[in-house]
Amino acid sequence: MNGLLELTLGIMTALGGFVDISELVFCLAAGARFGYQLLWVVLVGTIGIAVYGEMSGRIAAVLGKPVFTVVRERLGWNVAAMVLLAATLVNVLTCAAEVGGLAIILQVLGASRYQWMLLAAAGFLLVSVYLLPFRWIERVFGLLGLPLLVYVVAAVAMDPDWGAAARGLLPSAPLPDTPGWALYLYFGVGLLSSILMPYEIYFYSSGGIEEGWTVKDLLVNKLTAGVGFLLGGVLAMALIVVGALAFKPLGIVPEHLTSTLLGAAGPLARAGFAVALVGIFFAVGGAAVETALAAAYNVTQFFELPWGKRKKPAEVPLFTACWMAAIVLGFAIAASGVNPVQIVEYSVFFAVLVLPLTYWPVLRLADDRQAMGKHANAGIIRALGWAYLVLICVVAAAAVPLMVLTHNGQG
Amino acid sequence: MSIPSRALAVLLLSALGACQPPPPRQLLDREGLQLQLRSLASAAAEAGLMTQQLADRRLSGGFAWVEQQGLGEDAARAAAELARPAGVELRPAQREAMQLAASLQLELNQVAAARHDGSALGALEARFGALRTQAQRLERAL
Repeated sequence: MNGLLELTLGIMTALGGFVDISELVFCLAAGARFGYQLLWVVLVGTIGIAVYGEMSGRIAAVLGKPVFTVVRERLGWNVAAMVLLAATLVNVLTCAAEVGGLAIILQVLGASRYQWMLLAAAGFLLVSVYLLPFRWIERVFGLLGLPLLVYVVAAVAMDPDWGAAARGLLPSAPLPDTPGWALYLYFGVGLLSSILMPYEIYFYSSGGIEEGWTVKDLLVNKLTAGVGFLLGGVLAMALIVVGALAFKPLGIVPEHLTSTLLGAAGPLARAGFAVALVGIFFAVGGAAVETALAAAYNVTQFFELPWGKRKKPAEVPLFTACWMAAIVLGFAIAASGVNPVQIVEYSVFFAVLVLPLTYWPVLRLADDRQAMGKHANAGIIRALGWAYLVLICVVAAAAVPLMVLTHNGQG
Repeated sequence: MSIPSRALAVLLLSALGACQPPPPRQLLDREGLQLQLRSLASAAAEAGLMTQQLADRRLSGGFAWVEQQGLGEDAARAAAELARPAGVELRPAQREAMQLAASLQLELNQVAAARHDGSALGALEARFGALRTQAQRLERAL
């Protein structure tokens, strides 16, 4: 049990990054459109986020520096300011989508008016983040999001073709019965960028400092990043398999958060439906908390102001104001009536544009032997870091053309 | 402003531009009509799955209300896209597609209210199946 509690930072980061509202729907849609063919993208993305997550956690433990401090130091004030603007936009938009998602879940639980449930969701988040210490935020949203593992059970219960699923772990051309290359690449880019969303490492590295990580915690960092992000990857793959088995044969392309519940209820009946509902509530809630705190971490770290949930709110007034503002703005955006799933699909593609400018400084510092000493990147980690940076740049270049070509993924 | 900052700003503005819906004067073309028919077929199929699972008592009443509203909005959005001006050769198909969208919205509004009535759910499931088949047939004929 103690071991599991140690890993909750990684679990919460991964759940909030891998299975937030848009990823839940996007993975199901990827399976519904392309069967098992995009599983390899999740595998590639999972390795990438684990590598960069571990790097950012290592920098936090060895140097006590969170990611946005590194971004500012390495890129200079002007460029870092643009990254801050773009990252804050992504964080707030994603938070808005998650607040909308929570409201939808509350409606499913029996409440009628969406606007009131938005208020309830925002209130729940404000109170939770204000009252709970950081460690309890991780535990509540991390552990209570684990019921999402019901999708792994559902995927297995639906008796997939394991051979075909295994072949899906290797890149291949889209099959004749699928929508073709443009959409295949759109989904590939979308999956990869949503797995590599920068707020995950902003939150993870700042969380490591909140936890008081030092050089002694490097193994904890490795385990937390490894296990946490692996869990997220497995969940995303399970959702793709459920999409392939529950929706593809019927020609359904899911576009709603509620569609994900159909995927659990089919093979596992009312019990699956209920467990999935709990898991989705806390995973989506965790994503809202993660993005709100990431927004606050970024702003205060950029301006070198005091930050952290480990301090009393009065000691960190701007930090407190920032995460509260992110939730309130998120509520306001969601209350305007925009579809929450679409909000975050757009923000995923915006995030791709700032990914290289977030990951490049992390890689350069983690590689720097003068700064990191014996804890600098070596061997395979260095090679993977550079390989993923190139991949991220290619993905960033392809994102906007693919959005235009595919009419935002409609075909 | 440095060059990387300008480049990032241009990229962000391009991305914003790519998110815009088509202008109202843009004609509905064959590809657009097929896109909306696929969307209607998907919504009808999902509605059929929902009614089947409701009949099997796998879902809650709250879910039915929320899901029917979501699918109804999809059908309404498709109907709005279909209402754009179209060329003469597409108008028969356009008309049929709009009737299909309207029928789908009507049937969707019955689902949650019928969630305790097995025979009503069965009839709705059959109706959604028929609408899905009609949308697919229409799409293939274009």
